Amino acid sequence: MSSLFKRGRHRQRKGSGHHHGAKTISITGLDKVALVGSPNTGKSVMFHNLTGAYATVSNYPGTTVEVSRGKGRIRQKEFEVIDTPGMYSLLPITEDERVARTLLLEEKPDVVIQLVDAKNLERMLPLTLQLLEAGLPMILDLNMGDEAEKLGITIDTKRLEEELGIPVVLTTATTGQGMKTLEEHVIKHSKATNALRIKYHAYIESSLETIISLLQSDYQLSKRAIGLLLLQEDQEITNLIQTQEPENFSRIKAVVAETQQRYTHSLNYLINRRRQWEAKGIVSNSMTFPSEVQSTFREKLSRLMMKPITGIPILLLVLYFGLYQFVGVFGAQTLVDFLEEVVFGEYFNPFITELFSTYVSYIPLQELFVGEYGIITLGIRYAIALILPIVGTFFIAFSIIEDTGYLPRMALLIDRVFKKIGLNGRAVIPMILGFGCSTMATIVTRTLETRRERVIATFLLALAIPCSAQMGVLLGILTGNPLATLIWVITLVGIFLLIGFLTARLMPGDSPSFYMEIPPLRMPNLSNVLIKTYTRVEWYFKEVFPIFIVASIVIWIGQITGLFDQVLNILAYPVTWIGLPREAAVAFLFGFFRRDYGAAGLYDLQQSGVLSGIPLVVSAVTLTLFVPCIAQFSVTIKERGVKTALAVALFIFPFAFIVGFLLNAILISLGVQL
Amino acid sequence: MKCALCGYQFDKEESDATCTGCPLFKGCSMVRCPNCGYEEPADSTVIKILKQWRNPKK
Repeated sequence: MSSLFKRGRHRQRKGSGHHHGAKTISITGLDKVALVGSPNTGKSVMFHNLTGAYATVSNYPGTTVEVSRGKGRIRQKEFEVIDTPGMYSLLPITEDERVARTLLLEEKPDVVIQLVDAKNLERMLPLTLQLLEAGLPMILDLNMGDEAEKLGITIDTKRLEEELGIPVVLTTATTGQGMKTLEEHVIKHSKATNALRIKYHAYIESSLETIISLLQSDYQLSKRAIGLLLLQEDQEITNLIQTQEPENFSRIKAVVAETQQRYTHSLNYLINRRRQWEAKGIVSNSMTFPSEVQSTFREKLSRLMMKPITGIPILLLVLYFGLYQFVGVFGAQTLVDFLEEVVFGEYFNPFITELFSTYVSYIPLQELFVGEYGIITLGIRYAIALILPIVGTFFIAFSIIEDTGYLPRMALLIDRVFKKIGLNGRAVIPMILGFGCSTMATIVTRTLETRRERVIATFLLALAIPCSAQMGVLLGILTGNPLATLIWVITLVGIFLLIGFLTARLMPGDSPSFYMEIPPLRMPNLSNVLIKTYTRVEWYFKEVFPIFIVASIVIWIGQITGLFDQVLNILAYPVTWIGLPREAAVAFLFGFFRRDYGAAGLYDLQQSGVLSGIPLVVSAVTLTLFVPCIAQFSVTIKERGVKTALAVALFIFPFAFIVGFLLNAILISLGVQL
Repeated sequence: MKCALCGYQFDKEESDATCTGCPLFKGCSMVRCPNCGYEEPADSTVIKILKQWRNPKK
């Protein structure tokens, strides 16, 4: 079995090899260029182009696999060129692949040129990604360029270089096209410092981190590549690690076994699938195929939606009609007014209050259910009269956007705009568009490399990602005042840009591609929209209802004990400091339970005329930035520890109010009339 | 299932594997895409029953 530490010596058997040309070739001490790739990618032709007549072919020791070696010259510099057997993956199945991998590891080439068939790049890119992970000094050669051109395929090699972080050359080895560029890169070769690094599932990344920390020896492959091959249960690598890491081998094995247990599919399958997905994304960003050039109305509209110059106006129109008019006006005003004033105001609340007054004589119990903050008069009223119509219309609008296929186009547009200004769209977009809480996002921060990054990312998540329903409720409050809505939107957009900027700085090495499969545009299907809306509304109410009821109970206890008024008195200080009426302190107290509960509190104040104009928009902004909900806070404690969680909350609390104070001061000094 | 945002196809076990560290995991009905992190609620029981009623053979 070949060693992965020392350079092997290639023996040439007498009589089994054959020489090209009459000279004996001396290749000792020369820089090595290895040609790798799948079969039928033109490696032999390329080998001949680089070496001319001077080459030897012989069997690799102990195998029947032929390996060609030769000497090439580029300008005045000589190289040893090795034509490796065809390989599809660094995880070998055939003897050819085993020899190819061993050659790469034993010979330690100074340059690795991977030849791929330019027409079939997507199929061959997974090997490129593996070679990059292995830390090999790569050049990607897209060979058979003439055939790709004949088929009408266009390849943006510059874009590919950006995506992969290595030189990419388009060649036709049979005609010599592209050879000069390839040779230039061989002369200039150096190890890529910006090579693409794929991120796998969070748990796999976490396991890789552990394995890497347990590998003490040095290897020809990067430790990350070794870790991945261990997770993929490469027998040769496993045996090697057993020999080289006797102290840690059992722990490494345990990590592999534990990781596998978390998934139904094999890790090998999951890792390969992730690479294939990445390859698909890279190809979609850098290649166009003739079938893509269509001129149907839907295709034209689709392209317009994704180009920033036309996409942004389309997005604004969708947001205006879909969110502002449908959710903000119809949902938050028409429907809410009807439910609040007619259903609850004229019928339900008076009826239930009368019922309790008649049959429940114990006043505290009356207060619990039908008091100012009662379970029925506040908790249930908020949930049904206020939250349900706003969130319901919001989910309808969102489901339509999703069902038409516009959602991935919107995400791609935002990502493109982010990338143009050097930000990281991938970190932000799923959080904005997803309905999940930032709780889960906090867990994903465990994959960040340094503690500093993890803490800062956790902080960002706690500070500024509002849940979508909270956004819907706040939008409902601000509708009717376009300028107030604009100020709030600008503040939110500023926050998202800040997060994008900070994550781009803090998380280097993230993939530059944000690949999404773009489905065809279609008319929304009514039953799909209704099913999605119902599912979301049901989920939302299962989450929110119990919390609203618990909040009413907690406030009731607070009122009985007098603690409620004391807390309100304390909260009144920062609230009035930022120019809000004292009564707004209640909304912020609600915000501790859930942010949308706090938003509902603001809504009530707006309806009663207590909050309007500048104080309304200041309170909306401050509440958006406010402390994380209880669920996210508890996850932060689990992931980062009590001290960090408290530090985050204690920072955010004054920070949110400072921003509110500044906004209030700026709006007043500018004489803004809202 | 297919992510509504990025189109990545995955199954529930793969989604669950990325969430098992969360203290809300057992009570959470969200399905998270392992590729991009986009979350959606899982099909509700009512919807499953309705679908079953409409297509009893499936």
